[in-house]
Amino acid sequence: MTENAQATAEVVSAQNISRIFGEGTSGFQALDNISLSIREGQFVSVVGPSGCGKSTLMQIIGGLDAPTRGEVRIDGEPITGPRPDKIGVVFQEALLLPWKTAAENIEFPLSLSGVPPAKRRARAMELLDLVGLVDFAGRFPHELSGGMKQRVAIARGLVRNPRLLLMDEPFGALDEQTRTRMWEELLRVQERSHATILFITHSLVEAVYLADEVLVMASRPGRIVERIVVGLPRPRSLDMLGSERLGKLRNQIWHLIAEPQETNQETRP
Amino acid sequence: MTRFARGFVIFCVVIALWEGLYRLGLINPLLIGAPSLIASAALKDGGTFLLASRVTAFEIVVATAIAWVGGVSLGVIVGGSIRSTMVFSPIFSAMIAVPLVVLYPVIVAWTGIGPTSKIVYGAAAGFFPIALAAASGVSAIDRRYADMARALGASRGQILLQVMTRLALPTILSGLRVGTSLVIISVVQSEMLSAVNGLGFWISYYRSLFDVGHVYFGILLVLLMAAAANAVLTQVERRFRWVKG
Repeated sequence: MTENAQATAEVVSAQNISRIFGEGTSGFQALDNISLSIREGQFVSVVGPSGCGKSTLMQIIGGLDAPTRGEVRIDGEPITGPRPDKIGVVFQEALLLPWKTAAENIEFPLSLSGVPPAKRRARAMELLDLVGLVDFAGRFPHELSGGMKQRVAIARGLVRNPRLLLMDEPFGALDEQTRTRMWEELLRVQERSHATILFITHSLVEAVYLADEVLVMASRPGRIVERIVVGLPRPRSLDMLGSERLGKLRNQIWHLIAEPQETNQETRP
Repeated sequence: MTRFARGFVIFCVVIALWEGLYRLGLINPLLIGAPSLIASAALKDGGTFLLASRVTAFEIVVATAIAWVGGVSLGVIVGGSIRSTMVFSPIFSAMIAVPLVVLYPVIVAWTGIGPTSKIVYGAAAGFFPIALAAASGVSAIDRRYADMARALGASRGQILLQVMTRLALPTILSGLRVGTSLVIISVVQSEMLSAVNGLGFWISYYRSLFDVGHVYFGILLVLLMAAAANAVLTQVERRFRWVKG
């Protein structure tokens, strides 16, 4: 899988990006010298302790924030602001608009760019089919379960057929069972849509189970300490959650994350 | 029996009781009117009151439109940024607390004794609570909605109008309710203070003549106007209520 991915085009590349909030000595360095590269069709996870700058990284790649130094490129073009044509985004909360139906919520990014209603609706139905919610097209968000809402949010993220789907802890607010079902759902969606995905999470198992590659981050300053190739076969199945390979990778990541944090705590002012 | 029919029967009974108490001399006609007095006032001067109602209704409609459009627009723009909310919300709150009635003579001096002064005064009274509600409503919306909309391609204007304002509608609508009632109160009140026509003017005029029937007829017309405004607001609320219960 990874060898395969290497042969395809590079979708996203970040070169030495740093993000410092505030100025001078009181400045807080959220990200330090982060470089990464995501190739077409790849599923990359970013995992790290809370406060390691994962969300800042996501904001920068999504064009919602700008790095202090360095630059991010998508298809070779520097990102200077949101690129809804190239990047779809899914947040931790579904953030659906309560007065719109599931289908209308999926259409929302298309309506912003002036796509005619009939075309929008057809595309929304395709995506509802992809996430298995065709029967819920006319339901309002308050009539949907947490998992369904997040599936609608994923469909909304994919509606413009983006080059990259950026997911920021999308299952963080779901219960264990729903979350496990969403893993299956997401893997199925990726298999069918061949989406390139950057998936940010604090769950080690989730990071390994879903991805081709895991970027491990440490905090203060936020930096990538290790790039791990998962190497589990595809399609993934839930049996793999108990596999030796996954357990080993999980422990490896755990040590990478846990150790630097302890030393940091000692030196904290 | 339908709800309407039941309501009608109760209405008739209340009217009959009221008239009965008056006929029996149990209520002082100088303090409390009676249905027959109101009816004779309506027959005698219905035309005058109809014209006055038109003046008052015109003033209320124009003042309400100004307060709604101006208050919501300014409030939404202010609420769109945290900094401007912090600057302007205390100003709006302070303006609500100012007894605007002290400014009414000044407004009359500027804009005359006709409908314009009532419109200015009524609109000013309704404007600030509406602006405050819109500003605090919009500023209270989870900023992640704005991030979401921006990442998915919404412009600043689209974020403000298509996302934040819609999300803040419940708060904005309650602001409209408060603001609209203040407009009605203020318009009628200003007509009572100094005017040449309007329901408030005639109520005040007949009160000075101790003509209780005419006063109550005027009050009845004001109440009908308030009920009409309430019906409009309820329709607006129904139109924009997307979450049940």
